[in-house]
Amino acid sequence: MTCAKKLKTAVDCEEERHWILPVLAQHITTNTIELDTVYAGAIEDKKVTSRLLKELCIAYPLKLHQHLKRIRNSGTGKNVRLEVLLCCERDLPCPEERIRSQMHATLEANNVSTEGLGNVYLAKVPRSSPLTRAQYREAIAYWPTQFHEDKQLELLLDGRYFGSADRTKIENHMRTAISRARNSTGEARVGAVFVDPLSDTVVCSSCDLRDAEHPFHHAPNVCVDLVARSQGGGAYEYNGVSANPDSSDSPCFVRELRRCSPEAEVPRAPDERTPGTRELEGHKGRTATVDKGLARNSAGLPYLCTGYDLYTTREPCVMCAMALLHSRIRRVFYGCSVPGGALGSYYNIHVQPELNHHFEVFRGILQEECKKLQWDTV
Amino acid sequence: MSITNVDVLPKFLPCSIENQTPPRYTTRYSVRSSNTAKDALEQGEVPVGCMFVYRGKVLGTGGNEVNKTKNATRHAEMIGMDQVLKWCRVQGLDQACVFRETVLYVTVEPCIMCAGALRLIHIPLIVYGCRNERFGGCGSVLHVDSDSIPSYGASLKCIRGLLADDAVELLRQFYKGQNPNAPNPKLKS
Ligand SMILES: [Zn+2]
Ligand SMILES: [Zn+2]
Repeated sequence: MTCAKKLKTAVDCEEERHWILPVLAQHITTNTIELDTVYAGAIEDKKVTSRLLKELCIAYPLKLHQHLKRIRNSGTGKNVRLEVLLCCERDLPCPEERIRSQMHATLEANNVSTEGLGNVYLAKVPRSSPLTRAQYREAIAYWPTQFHEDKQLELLLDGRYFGSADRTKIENHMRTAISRARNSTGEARVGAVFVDPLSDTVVCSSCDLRDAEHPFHHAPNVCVDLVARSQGGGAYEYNGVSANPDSSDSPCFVRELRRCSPEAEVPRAPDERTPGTRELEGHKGRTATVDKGLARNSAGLPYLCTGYDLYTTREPCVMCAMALLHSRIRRVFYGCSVPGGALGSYYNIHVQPELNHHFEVFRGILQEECKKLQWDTV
Repeated sequence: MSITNVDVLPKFLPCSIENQTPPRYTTRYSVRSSNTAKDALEQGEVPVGCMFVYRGKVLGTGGNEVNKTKNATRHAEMIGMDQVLKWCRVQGLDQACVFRETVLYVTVEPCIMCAGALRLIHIPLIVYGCRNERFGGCGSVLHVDSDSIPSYGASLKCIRGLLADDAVELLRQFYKGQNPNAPNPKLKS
């Protein structure tokens, strides 16, 4: 045991260095579950169980608590006994119905025969269906609860989502972002790279170009405009820096755009597991599988940043994060967090329930190297 | 035409801003912003218009240019701010000093991105028309205007409700005219 533990620690250290942490919505990461109060009763005669269940389901259907099992075993060994969830507190609108000692009468009045039903007591139950195994463990401590495990989400939560090949790719792109950051001339040293994950190619990259005259030319924002440029648009004037289509080493790089059909350009095995090809289940508390292929316009060109991934050395600010959302980005990978950051630190723009687009965010990629880049502003 | 709260200007604003925001001026700027929004609509853009006013002088006007530039961040406010930045450059003025005395008039509540940009350059006051339920950064979805975001500068003040009905009507026309089967019917303000 001790030996195995030691071994694991060594591996952990190695793992830690390559850690890629998902930035998830709070309702997924929390292990504090909300509770509701219900009335439960002991079943003294097991023969009445099915009849009781049938009548209860008609009188008090568990509309808001469908995830709960109606019957539970309590006690151990010879003392095992059955308990039944009678109804929720809010199913009883009148205060006199809520008196526990009167519960038998209340049930009878609602066509539930109390024959074989013992003591009635109050119990706490989980308010909603657990989203993760950790939440499930918390939930069943209160009352038996149904749980459908989201395998991808569990992989994400314990850091096994990306295989080593994926990690290498992700780190390589972050290295590009770090080398871009070193070109930054202004007050912030940040780099950003847009990647088409289907072909694993860099679409554009830039250092941070903000200065007193261009306060909005943050690296991610510049890249959004470079993507527009690659699609025949674009709006920025880059003071003294021209977006160079020829050299991927220039501070500001944009790939020459080709008219192409996506299938012809990027042959892709149907069984290939591209990381994050699906929307994270539970982001909005429900399953949403979205076609993650690059949306193309009528000319066969990609539309905005749909399907692209952004690698940036530090967490984007609220302006940049929302610019990425407006551009329909697919995923963001960043190095280090900042207190005012909008993808996990101060705001969670990528999982804000009111917004119409959600995207995946991972942090901690080459964190130490990203931190070392000198930075002092947003 | 509904004008609300116009006389209730925050007291701590620079004098030059208080002087230039009596109701009749405010209305005039709002009407002009509304006309810019109409132009945007004619160009097939989401009809949002804005105007940046510094010491009674209009330094920038903008309508959405998202479709034109294929850049989803080219909102009216960003276009207008770029004009102000350019003006400062030409005049040799410090943009930070100029923006501190500049009021933004915009037909629709700035989105989260624009609200962030406006805070970055320390705009003290925004006068806007209708709320932006989908993306609003000044109260509707987030409070980027007033939250104490680390290293994002001072909060900014908002006056809302000016010509709100006109702004809503323009947006209604835009979304009504859109093909519901278009690849991206949600291209936004
Ligand atoms: Zn930024
Ligand atoms: Zn905006």
